[in-house]
Amino acid sequence: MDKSTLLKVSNLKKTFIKKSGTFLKRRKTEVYAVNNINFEVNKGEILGIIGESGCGKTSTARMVMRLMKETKGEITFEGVNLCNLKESETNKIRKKMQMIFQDPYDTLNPGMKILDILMEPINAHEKGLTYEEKYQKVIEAIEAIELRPAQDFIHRFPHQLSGGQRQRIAIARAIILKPSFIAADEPTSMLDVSVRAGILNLLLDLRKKMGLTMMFITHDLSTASYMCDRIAVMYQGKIVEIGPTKKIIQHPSHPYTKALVAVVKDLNHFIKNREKLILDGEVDSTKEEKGCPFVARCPHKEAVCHTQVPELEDVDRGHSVSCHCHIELLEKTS
Amino acid sequence: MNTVLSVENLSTYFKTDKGIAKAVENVSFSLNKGEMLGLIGESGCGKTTVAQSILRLIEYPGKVVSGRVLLNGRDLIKASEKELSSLRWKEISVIPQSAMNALNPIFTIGDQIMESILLHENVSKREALQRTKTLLELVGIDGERWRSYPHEFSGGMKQRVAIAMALACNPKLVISDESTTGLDVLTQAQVIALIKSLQKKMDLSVILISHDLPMVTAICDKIAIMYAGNIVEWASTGDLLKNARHPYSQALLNASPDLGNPEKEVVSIPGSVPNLVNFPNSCRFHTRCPHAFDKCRQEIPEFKEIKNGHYTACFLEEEGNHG
Repeated sequence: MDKSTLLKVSNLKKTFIKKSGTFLKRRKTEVYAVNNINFEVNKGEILGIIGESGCGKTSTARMVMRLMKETKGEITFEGVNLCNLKESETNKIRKKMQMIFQDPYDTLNPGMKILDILMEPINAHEKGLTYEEKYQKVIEAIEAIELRPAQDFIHRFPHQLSGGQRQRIAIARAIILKPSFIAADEPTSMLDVSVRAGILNLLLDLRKKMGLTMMFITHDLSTASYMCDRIAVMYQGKIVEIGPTKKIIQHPSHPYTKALVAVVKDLNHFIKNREKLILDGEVDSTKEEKGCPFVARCPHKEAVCHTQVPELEDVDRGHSVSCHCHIELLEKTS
Repeated sequence: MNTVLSVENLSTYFKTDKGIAKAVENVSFSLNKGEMLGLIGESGCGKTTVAQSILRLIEYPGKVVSGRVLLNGRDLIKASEKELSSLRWKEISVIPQSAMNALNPIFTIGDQIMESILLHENVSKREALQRTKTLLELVGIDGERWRSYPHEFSGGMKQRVAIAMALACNPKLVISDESTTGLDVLTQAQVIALIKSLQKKMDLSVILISHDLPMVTAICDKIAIMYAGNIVEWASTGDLLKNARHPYSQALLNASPDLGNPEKEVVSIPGSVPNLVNFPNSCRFHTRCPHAFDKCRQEIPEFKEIKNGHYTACFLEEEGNHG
């Protein structure tokens, strides 16, 4: 493993069992939430994971955070394989990796004051500190997330804060132990536009100050392009394209990424050329396709796409695509 | 161009335990035939209340306290319940916020679309079914699927069914209330593309309620921006993008990242939306406005035309020190 790699995910798989049928003819089918994905996150970088709902973004993050057990695969964090750890060892690792959740209304306990909410992680991981030291840490964390003066906030309950302020507290809780890695699961999707920018800028600022490494999950390509150094595009549990943000935005190679970029860049262009970019189609994650996961909606599909699963191939230093036809596509469009 | 809908000084208040919440105050705008108006604002700013007031769907403890809503010259606020039910669906219809909940799960979609046709028009059942099939084809669903139940469709397709339903009786005006929120990015774009193409084909007037500024700027002819119960600016899309006058509109344009311009620094608006209960007589944006001065805290700015078809409510316009 490279020295600069902080997190490495290899061949990660997660299946859920779906029960169907009647009482006597009970059938169990496997549903792939995450299907054999590989990626690395380097120290100090923000990796964006984008995709539509149900594509496995959150499952990936939860597995990395050890909030969910994987079906198969390996997750290596700072050289340690997280998958074989015992419960007590996992707890120690959690100090170094923290998560920010989507909904700031659900993730803060309504019966606890902000001070108590922020004390929780310290009590769990840094036993032996005096109350004054812990209090000082809480104040520092609140100041770091730009809620000033901090003393005004610590005795409030979550319902006395606005949505943006709550999300800031959730961020404070994630950074209070000075972790090296943070997974942010759609941290701005529940917030209004006017406060969203503040949270994004705060996260960028914290990364600079604390040298954080981040996995940033979102469904919004423009947010991802603002935040991330690299972007991984997921579709149906697979990474279909991964590469530096600039390349993904300027030269999207997978048909799915192309459609996504077209929608966000120029909606009118998308409306006019809709048929050429994406087909209307139902997404059914229950059956594992023999071929490419995108085949039902791909306007460029060929015979091979139905029978063979494409591999993630490197097309240009660090920019990988999993598509049988991308080379012909590149020629056609350029 | 002839005006289809004109809303004049509409105010809707809600009674609460703590006092009166002025959810919508003094809202005026109009809509021409074949025009698409985007109504934009953050959650809780009164977009949906405006739509409900136009449709007369406001119920106790809310009340439309003043103003007129003229649909082809007829005042909907004064119309009787009987007149209203003849107007709904035929003249004015709604694509609801979440199609998942708008469709009845125990009837086939064909039954649900036919219901509104049979209720409003004097046609036979067979004819109504024929029209239902045509409508489904129009929104890109196989006509033979009228026998299906809502749970057999995906989210995007349910939204299409809801659109077909809204168009069942050939209305002149369609209000789409956040009809694409909650769908995936690509599905959302496909639904929007459908609404846009139908609007052109059928010469519809559409009010598109949304909080998604980039989407609205891409497809709407005119845009009205709402903040805390007021429309703060109303202009053609081009004017608004090039020359937004109200500080809130300017801030909103700067708040979201732009894929075409990666260098753009996004800036949030400090503070939060004020409580509308017993709000003092002042500009509603003054608590967050970087240019606020004394007058903004004491008087309500008038919503007036500053340039051909460009309206805004801001004291900076009078002072002439717009910067």
